[in-house]
Formats: sequence, C-alpha cells, structure tokens
Amino acid sequence: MAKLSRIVSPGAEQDYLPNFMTWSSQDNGFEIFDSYLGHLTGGHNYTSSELWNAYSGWTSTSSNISSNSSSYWIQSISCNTQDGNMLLSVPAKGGRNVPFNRNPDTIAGWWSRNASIIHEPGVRNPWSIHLNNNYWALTVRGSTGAWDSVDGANGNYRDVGSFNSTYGSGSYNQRTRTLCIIMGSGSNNYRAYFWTHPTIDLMSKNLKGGQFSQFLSDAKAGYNGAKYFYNDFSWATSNSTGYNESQYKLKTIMGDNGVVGLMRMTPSNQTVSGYFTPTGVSGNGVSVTNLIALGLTTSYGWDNGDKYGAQHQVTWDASWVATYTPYYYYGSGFNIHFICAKDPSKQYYRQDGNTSVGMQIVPVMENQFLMCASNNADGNVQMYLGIVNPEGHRVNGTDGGGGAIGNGASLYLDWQYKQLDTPYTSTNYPVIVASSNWFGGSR
Amino acid sequence: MARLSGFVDPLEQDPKPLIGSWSADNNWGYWGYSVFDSNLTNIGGSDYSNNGEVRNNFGDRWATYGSFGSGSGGATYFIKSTTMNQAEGNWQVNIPADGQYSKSPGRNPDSASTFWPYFGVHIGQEGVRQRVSLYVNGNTLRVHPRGALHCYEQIGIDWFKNATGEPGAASYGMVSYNDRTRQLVIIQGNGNSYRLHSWTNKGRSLNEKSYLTGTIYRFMQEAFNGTNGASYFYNDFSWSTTNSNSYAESQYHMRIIAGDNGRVGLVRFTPSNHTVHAWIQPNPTGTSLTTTPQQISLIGVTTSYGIEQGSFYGQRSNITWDNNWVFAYSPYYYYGAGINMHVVSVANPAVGYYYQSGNTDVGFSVAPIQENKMAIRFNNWNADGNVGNQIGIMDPANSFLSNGGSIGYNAQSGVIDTYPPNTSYPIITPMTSWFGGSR
Repeated sequence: MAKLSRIVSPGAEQDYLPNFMTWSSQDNGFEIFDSYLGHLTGGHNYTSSELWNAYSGWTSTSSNISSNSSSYWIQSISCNTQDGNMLLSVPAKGGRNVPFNRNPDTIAGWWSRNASIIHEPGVRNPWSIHLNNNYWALTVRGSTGAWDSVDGANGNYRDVGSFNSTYGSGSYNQRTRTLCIIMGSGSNNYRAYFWTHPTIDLMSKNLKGGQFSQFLSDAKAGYNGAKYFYNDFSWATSNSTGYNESQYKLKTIMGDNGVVGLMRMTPSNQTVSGYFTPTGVSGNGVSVTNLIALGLTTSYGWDNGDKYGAQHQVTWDASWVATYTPYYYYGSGFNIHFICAKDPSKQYYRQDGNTSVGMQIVPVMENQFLMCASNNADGNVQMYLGIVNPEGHRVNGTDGGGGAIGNGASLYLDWQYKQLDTPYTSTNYPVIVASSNWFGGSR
Repeated sequence: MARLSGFVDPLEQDPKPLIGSWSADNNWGYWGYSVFDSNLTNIGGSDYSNNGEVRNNFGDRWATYGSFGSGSGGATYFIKSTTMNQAEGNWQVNIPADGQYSKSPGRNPDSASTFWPYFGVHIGQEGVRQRVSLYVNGNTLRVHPRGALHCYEQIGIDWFKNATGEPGAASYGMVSYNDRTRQLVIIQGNGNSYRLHSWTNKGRSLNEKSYLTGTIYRFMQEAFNGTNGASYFYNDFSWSTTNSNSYAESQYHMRIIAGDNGRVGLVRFTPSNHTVHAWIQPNPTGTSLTTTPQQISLIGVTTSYGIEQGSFYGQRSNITWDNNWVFAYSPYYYYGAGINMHVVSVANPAVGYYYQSGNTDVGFSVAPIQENKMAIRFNNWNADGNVGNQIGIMDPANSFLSNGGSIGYNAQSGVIDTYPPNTSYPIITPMTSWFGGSR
C-alpha cells in the first residue's frame, strides 16, 4: 500500500510543535511550555467553576495516586490521549482565573472509543473517529457529540457476519487514506476491515456530512476507485478472553506500509503488542506476530469504567504512536508500547512498576515524547522529567548509551529532577498535561 | 573549511529574541516581570504574589534590590551576578514569553549548576536557535534538549577519538558545534597541554528540529572511521598564560568557538589574574596546530573565582540571533560582580572585542537582541528617577571597531517600566522561548 504523495506546506498548513502544561492543584497554578521547554505562559485555575466544583478531587496533586481510582486521577497515564487531557482543557494563552476543567465521565465515554489518527506530518487531525460497536461517528477533535455518523451494521459498508463488537479498535491513516476497523465476535476472534478511498479524506478540514458514508460504501462497492477488503484472524494471549478491555479495545495503528500494529491490555496480566500484514483480499490468512509482552500487577481497564485502561497519543509528525496503560490499579506506573506508524512492525517499550507514583506522557517536538513522574516536588525537587525518542533509536540503531538497540527493546530514558518550577511550597505531586491546542509552540 | 552554503528557510528561523525584565524590591512589596521584543515593544508583564517551590527554597537570592559584593552563590541578590545568564536562559528565573501571570517562574539554580556550566557553544544557521545543548565533562558527552537536565543520549568521547599520547582528558564544557560547517570541536587536556579533537560530518546535523537519539554517535563514529565523507583529526598544543595552570577554570573551562573559517576561538578566565581571547588554526592533515594561540585581547581581573570553587562559578557565554557573535564573560570581582567580556566573531574567531567593568558590588546581565546585537545591563543602575530598566546595546558588527579593542554601548532610559515606584535595581534575562518576538 503506497503512501500517497501529498505536499504539506510547511508552516502554512502545519501546526506549531506541541506545547504542554504543568499543573499543580496545590495553589491552582499552571504553566505552559513549548517543545523545547521554553516558558510560553502561565496562570491559575478558577476554583468556583462548575466542573472544578465537581471534579476537583480528580485533578488534585496533594497526594500521589497509588491505588486510587478517582482521587488524584490527573496523575494517571490514562488521563492523556490523542484528543487531549480528560480532566483539564489546557488554555493555550494562559490567564488568571481560567475555568478549564472537563467532565471525565462524559469525555471518557467518547475518547476511550476513539480510533488512532495517523495524520499528515504536522497537521493535527480536525476530527476524531468514534467507534462504539456499530455506532461509528465523526466528532470535532476531542468533542463529545457526533456531527456525522453511520450504522456500522449496514451491509453496504462491510461484510458484517457475527462481528459486531469494538471499543475504538480502529485507525485511520490520512497518508494512505485507509481506514481500518477491527470488529470482534468474542473468543479472541476478529475481522479486520479496510477501506481506501482516493478522493475522500476523512481528515480533510472540508469534509462534509455524508462523505463518511460515501467513503465506506464506495469502497465496499468498488466505486470511484475506492477499495475494500477484510481479513479474519484470531489473537489469543494470556487470559485475553477474561476482559472486555483485552477483547474489544485493541489499540490499532494503520501503518503507511499497510502493516497493522496492535496493542492489548489484559488487566492484571500483561500488555502485549504485535502486528499483522493484511492480504489485500477478503478472507483468512493473517496472523498476529507478537513482539513485546510486559507484565502487569493488579490493574484495571474498560471493565471498571470507560476512563480506565489503554490509551494512545501520536507524535506531531504522526510517525510514532505511544500506546500505554498504568502498571498498577488505575494510574500508577506504566507500560508503554511505542509503535511506528511508518512500519508498525517496528516497536519499542518502556515499563515502570511503581505502585504509588502516577506518570504521564505527552508529545513534544516532531517525533518525541516528554515524560513526567509525579513525585513530591517539595524539598527543592520540582519536576521529574525525561524524554523518549523512538525515531532516533529506529533511524540510528543505538540505545542511547552507545550500544546497539534491536526491534522490540526498551528505550533510553534519562530521568532528571529539579526541572521546571512548581507552585506551592509544600507537599505537591505536579503533572504534565497534553494540550488540545498547540498555539504558541515553536515552529 | 568553507561555510556550507545553506539556504535557511525563513520559516525555520526563530523570531527575534525576547528580553525579560525582572525586579523584586527589598521586602518583596513589589516584584514582577515584563517581556519586551527586540524592538523594545512591550509584550506583556505581571506582578507576582505567590511563592513557588523555587522562590521558597532560594529566597532572597532572587531579589534585585541590593548588592552582593563578594558574596557567593547563596548570597542575597546573587541573581544580579554576571554568571547567572547564558545561552540556555537565566539560572534563577524562567519568565513566560507572553509575560502572563505565573505562579512558578523560577528555576532551581542548584540543579542548573549540575549541567549548565558544562554546556558548550552551539552555533546554528542564521536565525536558528540551538535546539540542543552539548554537555562535556571529561570523556562524558551528553546531548540535552536545549537547557534541559535530561538528555537524549550519553556516550563516551573516548570511543571516537585518538587517545594515544594525549596529555589528558579533562574538560568542562570545552565543546563547540558549528552547524554551518558541520564541525564538532572538543578540547581536552591536562594543565596547559591540550588535544583538540575535530569531527566533521556534512551528512549529519546536530541541530535538527527534532534531534534523533544516536545522531551524535553516528556523527562521531563516521568521522572517526572516515566513512560517508566524514573526517576526524586531532591537534596537540599548549597554551600558557599567567598562572593559567593554577586553576581548573583556566585550564579546563574555556569557552571555545568553532569558527566558520575553521579557526577556533578560545576565551580563558584565569581567576584573580585576567581573561584572554585568542585563536588557533587547526591543521586537519597533521597532529599539531598550523597556528598556535594568537592573543587578541587580555584584560585583568581582581580577586575572583571560577569553577574550581564549585560548578556554580566561572565563565558563561551567549550568542546572537544570527549566531555570528559569541559573548563570553566572567566576573571581575569574587563570584559575580563586575564583568570581563570578550566578543568573538564566529565567521573568523581571530576577530573580537572586549568590555570590562571593575565594579565590586553587582554584576551585569547580558541577553541577545535584534539579529546581531547584545543587550547589556549594569545591575547597579537604579530604575528610580523616571528611568526604568536601562539597557545598553552592543553592536559588534560596527565597522568602526578596531580588532582587539574595546566595545561600548549607550544606555537608554525611560523605555522599560518596572514595578517598584522608588529605588529599584532590576535585571534583564535571556528568555527560554522567543515566541511572540518580532520577525
């Protein structure tokens, strides 16, 4: 499957490089930094807003998350997704007394079912694709209501069979105009559907109502040069039939080269990632090659609530997708699988088995991720930060310390504390927050 | 070594530098900051009323009201030290680019001291700010996102150098990368004896928008092995100036500048003796220099301290927006008062000027402005009396300057307002983000 050649006008069409926010509920202060840790702006939260009133405990940094499910959940790695942060709507221009909380219950019902979007380099997706069994919808990125939707059970779109279950197991690759949705029928059995359309781009800013339906139906019918096929497969990993999270919420990456990357969380068991190569012809004949498996202790996914379990984020250039879960309960530690969108058979990981500290990951620069461990900032400690750079490892083949790195290996991560000042002068566990708006980040 | 004829896409260039103005009076009754662009247009500002973690831990060394004289890093008002600014930013404050209200605009100076004194001189294409900071301590080489304490990778210099017969491997940030010539220069030594290592690799850049882990490893490996058109050489040399072998600062903490023309500039601070700017001409085909150190300017200092007193102290540097002029400066008196500054041309490090102030109360703050100029402020100027935060503009591109001679400036007043309406001694800071600056 060839990558379509499309010229992206640098600077004009492309977004700023990602910014991110640091947040402390202690003293209600936030700062916004660009990808190079340049200090862009700051401000503080309005503590009489409607949503803060309801969810202030969720956004608290007064203690660490440990085994909590709601209190301090802002520290959970699952809180940030490609659409932003489920609890805080980062105000890109800062300000005093900003009401910026979100309702995680409403948000999670939508975002946790959103497909990964492999967009043009530097052109952030305008829409999210929401997949809830046979309800497939387009939303404004990060919103909670459809502006267009289709019935996925319609035979004009796909060969339905007994495959009717999905919880966001999908991916749209704007670069190849290919949509992949994986529907399950239970017992680890899946049908992966592929639609490609040469003239309708589901991430076009000019996309119109009805074109989602046309994208699917044209492909199914073979109209207008569009193509469709499906591949059936089964993918069994340890205890994977025991949880809805592991059965129906497969993090899916539609690669530029046609290969599909998968990451699955089986709560309290493991996370595992792998890939398969579609045949291009409807039928059987594919199998998943497992590449990375990381153990988990007691941990929870979708089965315990929409907001829990595996989530994903994408780099600015959409060359890498970070798929991740907490290691412990709802938000401590992490298992992260980094999957290359150019070739999903290229993957790396990082794992942290901490059972008290929440950790976060956000995209920075073109193809990297910044990480934060929410340790106590008191005592002249400030923030713990590190950076991971999967594209560097892939391109240069080194492990960051001078040795060679193989596919499927752990990435280099140099944690350093005493970085970035934090509000408040006593116990505080600050976080970094993924931003919905990258305005002001460097070019 | 010719400068690569690189077209620099204007969209790749950064906005012109911003300058931060910071003031805090003697009892914290008034304190705050404002931000100005290179045209001295006000971007924004804010008073400040809360204590962040840094303010809480570092207290009055943040304030700008008084003098610290012979005080060291923990002294009240030490933010006014000449050593508190460098290309990565200010050691104690990190003012937001839009001047917006911030509850935590500080920077932990103790943590900055763990890496920042060991960062080298990074020379980008015109208008492209350094994207990484290169850290050298002995044979350890780390690549950091600009100013960050975490790194992308850490490798050994000794993996890709000829160490046979080397005089020693001590080096505290004696590293310079020139993206226009794709040359990386590191100087290591023992006493006054040095080995200059040069790696050139035109197929790789160490200032890409997104640094890729492993790039410096491949850059040096290919150069050392002579593959992909890359090359490596070393030259041994010695350089003795008065008492230079008595201090770690003068021996191992020189600022070095990898010039566009292949010459390398050296600026050495010998505490309690002098500062000196010299240049050398490396010899890519031999093992000794074509031209040994040639002095351009030398100016004395009184009792003063460098990195041998701790990593908090010693020489710093900054660079203009166009990356054509490096400003290297040291305190004149004790740990941070007064200034000895050498301005070195990147096009030809044999060209340069100096500036000196023998003040023994406070230091100077230095920050880039416009394309090729540097703003300088004497931190003892009182903003009271309707003058505000005065700054001077140094213009090393002025064709009337004599090589090796002094460079001056005129102070403006009444342009940059400051918070207290009475006696006040604000400073200026380089900014970590230039977003919002003029094009």
